[in-house]
Amino acid sequence: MVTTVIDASRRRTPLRALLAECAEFSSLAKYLALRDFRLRYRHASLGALWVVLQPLLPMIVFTGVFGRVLRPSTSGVPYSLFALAGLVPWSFFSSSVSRSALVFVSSGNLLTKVYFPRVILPASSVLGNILDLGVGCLLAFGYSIWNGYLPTWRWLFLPAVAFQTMLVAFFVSLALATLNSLLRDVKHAMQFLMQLWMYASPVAYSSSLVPERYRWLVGCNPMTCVLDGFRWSLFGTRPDLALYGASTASVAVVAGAAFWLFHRFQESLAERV
Amino acid sequence: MNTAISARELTKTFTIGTHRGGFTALDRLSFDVQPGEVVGIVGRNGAGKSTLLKILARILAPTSGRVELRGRVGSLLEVGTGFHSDLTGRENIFLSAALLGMREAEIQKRFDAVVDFSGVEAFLDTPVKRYSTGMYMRLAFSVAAHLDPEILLVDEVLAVGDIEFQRKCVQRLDALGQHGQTVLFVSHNLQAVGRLCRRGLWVEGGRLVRDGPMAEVAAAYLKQGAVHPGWREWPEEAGAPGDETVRLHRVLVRGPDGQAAAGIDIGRPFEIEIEYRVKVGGLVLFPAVKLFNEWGTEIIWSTDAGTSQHGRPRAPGRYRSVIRFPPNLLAEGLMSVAVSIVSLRPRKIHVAESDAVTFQATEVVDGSTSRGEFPDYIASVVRPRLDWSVTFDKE
Repeated sequence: MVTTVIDASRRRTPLRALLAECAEFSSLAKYLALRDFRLRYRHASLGALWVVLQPLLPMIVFTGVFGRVLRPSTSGVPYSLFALAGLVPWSFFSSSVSRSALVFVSSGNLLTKVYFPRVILPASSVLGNILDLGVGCLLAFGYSIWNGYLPTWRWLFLPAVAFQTMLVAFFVSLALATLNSLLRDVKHAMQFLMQLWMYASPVAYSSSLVPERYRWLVGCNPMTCVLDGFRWSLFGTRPDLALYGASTASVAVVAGAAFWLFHRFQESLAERV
Repeated sequence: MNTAISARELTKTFTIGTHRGGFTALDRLSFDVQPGEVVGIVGRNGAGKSTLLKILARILAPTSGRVELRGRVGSLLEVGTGFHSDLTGRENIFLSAALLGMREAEIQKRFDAVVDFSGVEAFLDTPVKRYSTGMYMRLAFSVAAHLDPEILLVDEVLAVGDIEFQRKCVQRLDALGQHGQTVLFVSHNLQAVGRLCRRGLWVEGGRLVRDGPMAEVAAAYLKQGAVHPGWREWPEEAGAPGDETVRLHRVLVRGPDGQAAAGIDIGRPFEIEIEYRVKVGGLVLFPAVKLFNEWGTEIIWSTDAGTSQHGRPRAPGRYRSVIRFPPNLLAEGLMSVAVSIVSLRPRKIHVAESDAVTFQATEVVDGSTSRGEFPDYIASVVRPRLDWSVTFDKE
């Protein structure tokens, strides 16, 4: 028989119990993700076509603006392909985070009426975009082949990099969603934050082009390793290993900070939304 | 035998705004519930009943204290948890069931039973926003009814829906109790609580006032609520609701015969009289009366607009206001009268007495009320007799 103990003097739930609980509610995560996915495209007349258009439209803009005017070095890769390889993970990241950062507040009606591990909300919200990412990866494969980059063994790593993208999006969402339950300013700052973050990330340009003075900033960015990983997997451009390592470490820092913040405030979520 | 629920010294304090200290919703509450017991929790609005249920359901964390729950816990704090109007009936069944704690295999196993019970089979693939309220409720309740936990926490589910739906809910809850599940049930509907529960807990001000057989607890609760049925006076100024500016002195409900009454007939006029004393003059005071029904819904708000005193600074002295209610206004049920007196610029609440008096509104079905000859249950919160005209053309 399951025994639940609620004890105000013992706040910390052991990690193993937390994981077991999440496993028990895994079907909930699935149905929440399905709901998000269905609702997103149900009323759009172009429907699921938006999945393809989302990385494709900015690629056209980027190619026009950066590719023609600024002509950044891309180690020989056609600029449109280079941009697409950055935009696929980036548009997944930015649309997941913009939505998931609001999830505790927007799901307030659930938080105040029923119990489930709260971490499921941002997790399922990110998971609800998984098809977009999958289609984006296929698009990137197709466009690479069309540009003469034939499949190599490195392509096998792309799913792993895609998974890494989801993890980063989840950690950032968890932190921002918790913050948003404390300060609603997060909601208003979101759009600006994502725009700023995009220009600070090697999406439109290669991380190797960043001047020495700003390299630390790129190293602190958890999206750098994702973007470099994508390009390495698709057409073998070798990332700067120091930068890649720093960025990977920053993912761990963001994850730690996100879980600390969430754990600190999760119990009172229902009182604050 | 092991207890199903054991709560020890449960306390919950809410911080309000930036205030330190805050509001204590539960105050060192302790109780035990044995497996298979069906327990009703009664108490006034704000007594802490819902907070207690939310702590047991792990929605809120207690400020101090400890609870042990032995068995899978399911909670029904509303009908249609997680329902989304754009999703179809089928999609909502899966989502809502998962939210209530069912695993995928369980949902699939019970899916047909849920659909059968709800009777909306033909509309399973229609978005629920196209459902009638009745269909929506039936589907939502059907999901909840197939939840099969060892401990079930239910709050106010019966407060919604038509009489047929309420009957279904009661039957289902009754069946749960008979199958050995432990049920904790909070409701304003004393009749429903009384019918379902053998044991009652009466919570007031976050504390347990009484624990015993339901009939005894309900009787004590009703008796306490009826200390001043229809009539209440504060003879000592010190204990009266109010402040240095104004104090409430008396509130009473009067039937058509001019006598104070604990019950009124909704087909006949009645009056509410409030008496208060203004001690500091010069303020524009707005005395107001509110009527709440037994679900806590505010039905009426009224102030002395149109009188010679309205909107003007008041001189010190004793004031008596009589509010005349026309016949055919209220529905049946237990009504609670709240009295408030506020001044504006700066805004200040001088008197705020909820549950100042209570009275029972009953209906004599003689064809004179708005229902006419219609014999069934009417759910509307007001019952005005409207002017209908009918034209008829013979075919």
